[in-house]
Amino acid sequence: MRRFLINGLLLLALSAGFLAWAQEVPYTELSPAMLEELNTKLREALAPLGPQPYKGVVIRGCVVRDGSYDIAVWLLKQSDFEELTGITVDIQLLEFEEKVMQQKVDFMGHTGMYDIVSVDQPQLGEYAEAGWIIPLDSFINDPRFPDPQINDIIPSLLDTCGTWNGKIYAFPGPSYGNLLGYRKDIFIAAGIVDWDGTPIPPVTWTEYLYYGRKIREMFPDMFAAVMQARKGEYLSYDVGTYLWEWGAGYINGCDVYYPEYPKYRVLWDTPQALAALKFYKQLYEELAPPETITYDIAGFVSAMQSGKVAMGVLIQEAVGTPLEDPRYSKVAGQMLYAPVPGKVNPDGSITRVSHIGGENVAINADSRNKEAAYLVARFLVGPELAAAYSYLGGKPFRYSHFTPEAIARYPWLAAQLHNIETGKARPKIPEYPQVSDIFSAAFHAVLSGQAELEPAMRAAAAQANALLAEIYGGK
Amino acid sequence: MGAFKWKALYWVILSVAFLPLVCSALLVLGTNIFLSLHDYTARTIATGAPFVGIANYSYALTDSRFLNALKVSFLFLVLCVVGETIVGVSLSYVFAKPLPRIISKGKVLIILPLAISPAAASLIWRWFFSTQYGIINFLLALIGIQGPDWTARPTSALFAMVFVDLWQWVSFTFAVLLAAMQGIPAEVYEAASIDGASEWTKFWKITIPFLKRSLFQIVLFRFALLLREVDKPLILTQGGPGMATETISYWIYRCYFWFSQIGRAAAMAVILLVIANIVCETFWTLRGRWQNA
Amino acid sequence: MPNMVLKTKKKLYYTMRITVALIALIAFGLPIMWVIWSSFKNLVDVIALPPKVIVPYQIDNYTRLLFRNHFDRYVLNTIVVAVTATAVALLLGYPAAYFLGRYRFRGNNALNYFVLSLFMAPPIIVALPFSVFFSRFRLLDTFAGMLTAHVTITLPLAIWLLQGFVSEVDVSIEEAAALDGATITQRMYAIVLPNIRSGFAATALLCFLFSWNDFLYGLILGPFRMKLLPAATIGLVSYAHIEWNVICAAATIIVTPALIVTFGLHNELVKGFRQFLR
Repeated sequence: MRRFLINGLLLLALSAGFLAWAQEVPYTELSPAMLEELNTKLREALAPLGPQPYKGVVIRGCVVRDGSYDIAVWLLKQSDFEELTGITVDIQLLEFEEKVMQQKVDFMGHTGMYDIVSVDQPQLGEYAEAGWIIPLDSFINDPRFPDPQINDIIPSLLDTCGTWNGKIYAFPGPSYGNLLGYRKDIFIAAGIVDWDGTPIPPVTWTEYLYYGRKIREMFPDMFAAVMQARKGEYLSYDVGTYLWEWGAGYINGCDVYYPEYPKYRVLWDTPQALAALKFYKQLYEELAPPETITYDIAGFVSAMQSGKVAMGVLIQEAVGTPLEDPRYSKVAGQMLYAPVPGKVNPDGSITRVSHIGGENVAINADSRNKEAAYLVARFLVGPELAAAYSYLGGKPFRYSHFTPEAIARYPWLAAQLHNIETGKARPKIPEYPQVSDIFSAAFHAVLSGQAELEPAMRAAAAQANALLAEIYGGK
Repeated sequence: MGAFKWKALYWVILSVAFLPLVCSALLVLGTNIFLSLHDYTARTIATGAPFVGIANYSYALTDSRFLNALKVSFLFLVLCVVGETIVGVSLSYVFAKPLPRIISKGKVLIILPLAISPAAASLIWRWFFSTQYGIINFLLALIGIQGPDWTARPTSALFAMVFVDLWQWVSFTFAVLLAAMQGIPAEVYEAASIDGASEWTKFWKITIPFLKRSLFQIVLFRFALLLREVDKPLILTQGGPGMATETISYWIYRCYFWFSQIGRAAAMAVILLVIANIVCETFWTLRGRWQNA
Repeated sequence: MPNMVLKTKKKLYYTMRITVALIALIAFGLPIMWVIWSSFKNLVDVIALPPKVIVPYQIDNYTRLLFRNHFDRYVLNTIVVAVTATAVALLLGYPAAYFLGRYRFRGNNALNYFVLSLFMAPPIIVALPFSVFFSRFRLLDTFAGMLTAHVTITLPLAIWLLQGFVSEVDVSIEEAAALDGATITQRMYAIVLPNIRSGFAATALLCFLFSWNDFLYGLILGPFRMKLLPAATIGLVSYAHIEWNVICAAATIIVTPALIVTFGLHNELVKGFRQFLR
C-alpha cells in the first residue's frame, strides 16, 4: 500500500514537471502591432459604455471547435476585452455532435448554463421556433450598444445563417464554403498543366471527371476524389453543391424555389436531383476510396494528409493548417485551391454554386445576463477582431476579413468572396434535421450498395413529404 | 406479538430501500406514457403540446426506421448470443482442464475486457478497425487478406459490432461456466472414458447437460442486456452504413436528441419497455422453474 | 499399441488446448495493453504502421487531457458519483437484501422480480423521462440528479446480489445467536455480514464498475459540471483531426479501475457475476 502511494506521488511529480514543458502557445504569429491595433479598435468601440460596465459577470459559451472559433475565442481573451468590460469570458469549444447535445440539454432543462451558443446554419429554425434563442434586433437597434456593422457581414450569410422569419437571431460566424483542393505534384506529373507549367484545376465537372480518370489511369494507387460522405449531416451537406448546380435542391421554398413544385416538398426525387446524385455516386465509385462513406471532416483530411488523394472538394475548414502541417501531412506545400467546379448547362453557361453556411453566434433565451452575452457575441465575431482573425487563418464571413495581408497569406481567399456571395445554404426549418436524416440514411444506403438510387430516393422523398405535410400541409 | 413486530420491521426496512426505486419506476413509466400521448416536438415545447392519444404509437409501429431498428437489434442480439455461447463454452472447456501455470494464471486477462466501459471498448476498436490507422487490416494484409472497409459495408459493420460485443462478453460466459465446469465430478468423465467415449461425445453428453441451467440463464441475461446497445452504434458506426447498425436504443436516442421528437421517442421507449419486460418475465419464470426442479 | 495411440492423441489435444488458450489470452489481453502503450506515444508514431517500438515516449497526452481538456474534473466527478452510488446502494440495499433473503413473506417474489426488472431495463427508457423531469425541477447537471440516476443502477444490483449471498449463509448460526438474545440488527451486522464478507466485496465491486462504466446517464444528464468520463470521451472524437494517442490516453484513464479490479480482485469479480445468475 505504501509503495503504491509512493509510486503514485512520483508519477504525479513527473507529470507536473512535464506540464510546463508540454504547454503549447498557440498562434504565435500574431505580432504585437496587430494586437495593439485590435485593442485600439476595441477601446474605441467600447468607449461609450464606460469603464467595466458589466464587472463581475461571467459569460459562458458553447461553440463548435472548427478551427476558426478557436482563433476568435483566443483573440478575444488575448485582447483587452475582458478588462474593458469587466466580463469574464468562459467559452467551451466542443466537437459538433457533442456541442449540439450539450446545448439541447441546456435548453430543454432551462438551466441557462450557456449564455451564448453557436448554432449550425440548418438548425437555426429549430432553435428559433422552439424559443431557445432570442432575436437580436432589439440589441442591434439599441443605441447604447456598439454598432455591429451589419453591412460588413456578407449578405448571403446574414440571410441564410442569421435570419429566421424576418428577424436576426444570430450573428453569422466562420462560414463554410467549399473549395476544390488539388495536388500540385500529381497534376504536374500527370501533365495537367498550363502553357507555363502551372497545374490547371478543373473548372467544370466534366473536366473533373476527365482529369480524375486520367490520374487514376496513370497512378492506380492514387484516388481522384474524396468526400465527407459519412451518414448523417455530413452526407446531407456534401451533396448540396451537386443538387443546386444540377437544378434541384433540398426542400422547395426553403433553399430554392421552383414554381412547378408545391412549397415544402423535398426535391431529391426530381429528375435533376436524381441526375446529380447519380453523378455523385459515379464520382464515389470511380474516383474515391471506398471508405469515403465513413469520412467526416477528420476522415477526409486524414485521407488527403496521407497523400493518396489527388484532388477533392473540401469544406473550407479542412483547408489550411491540417494539410500544411508537415508533422502529420505528407502533402504539406503541395496543396493548391480553386473554386468548386461548376456544371455545364445545355446553353453553354456554367452554374457554379458554393455551399455556404456556418456556425453562428446566438444568445440563449434562458441566459441571466443577456446584455453582457450580447456584447460578447457582438465582439467575438465583430469587425474589430477581423484583421487579426483572418490573418491567423480564420474563415471569413465579413468583408473586413478580406484584408491584403490575409489574401497574401491565403491566396484562395481571393476567389472565395464571390463564391460566398453567390452561394446557397441548406434549409433551416425546424423539421430539417429529421428530413436530412431520412435523406442521408437513404442515400448512404445507395452509396454503400444496399439500395438502388431511384426507388430509394423516391421512398425517402415520400416519407419526408408526409412528414412535412403533417406540419405545413396546405401552405 | 413477535411475529407482528417482524412483519412491521420487515415492511419498514423494505420501504426505505425500495422507496427510491419505486418512485423512480413510477416516474419513468408515468413520464414516458404521458409524453407519448402528446405531440411533443421542438416546435410544441414552447407553445404547448396537444393530446394525440395513440397517434405516436401507431406512427412508431408503422415507421420503417423503427421496424428496421427492431430488426437490427434482433439480428445483433441473436448473433451476439450465439457467438458468445459458442466461444464462451469452448474457451471454458479449454481452460477447465490443467494447463501450464503461466497460461492458467493468464486467464485473468480474459476477464479484463468485461470490466471496461463499453464506450471505451467501442473507442478502442474504432481505432483498431479503421482502414487507415487500424491494426486489424494491417495484420490481415500481413497474411495476404485485403481487409474490408469495416464500417463502410453493412455486413462488416454489423460484424465489427458483434466482434466488439463478443470481445467483452465472452468473458462473462467464460467466468461463469468455468467454475461450473470445474464442479463437474471427474469420476463421470472417467467412467465415460472407460466405456470408450470420445472427447466429443463426452463433451456433448456430459458437459453440456451439466451446464444447461447456467447456459439458459446466461442467454436470457444477455438478451436483456443487449437491448440497451447504444454505445457501439454511437461510437463505432453511427448507425451506418445506411441503417444497417441502428439498434433500437440508438434510434430512440436519435429521435429524442437530434430530432427533438420527444413524444415519438417516448412511445418507442414504452414499446421497448414492453419487450424488455417480456424477456425479463421469461428469465424469471425459467429461473423459478430451475430452482424448484 | 493402443496405449501409444491414446498417448499421442492426448498430447495432440493438450497442444491444441494450449494454442487455443494462448490465442485467447492474446486476443483478450493484447488490445488493452496496446492502447496503454500507445497512450504514451505522439500522434505520428501512433498512426504509423507497422507499429514503431523505439519512439520518444511522452506523457503529454495525459497532461493535456488532465489540464487542458478538464479531464481531472471528470475523473473526480466519476469517482465521486460511483463511490457514492455504491455506498448508498450498499447502505440501503443490505437491510432490504437481508430481509428478502432470509424471510419468505408474501410479496417476496414480486419484489425480487421488480428489482430484477429495474436492472434489466434499457437505460434509454429511464434516461429520457429523467432528463425531462430533471429539467423541470432544475436537477439537470447537479450531483443529486446524477447520483439518483446512478443509484437506480446500483441499488437494484446490490439488492439482487446481496440477497443471494445472504440466503447462502447457514440459518443455524443465526438461530443460535437468536437464542443467545441477539437482536435483529446485531444479527444483520455482526453475524451475517462478516460471513458474507467476500460476497459483500463482490457486490461493492460490481456496483462501482457498473456505475463507473455507465455511458448514457453521463451523456444525457450531466453535460457541463457533472460530466462523467465515458461520456467525455466522445468529445475527443473530433471531426477535424482525430488524435488517436489522446484517445488512447483517455481510454486508459477510463480503464484504470477495471485494470485494478481485474488484476487485484478478479476472484471477487467472478464471484459477483456467478451470484447474479443464482
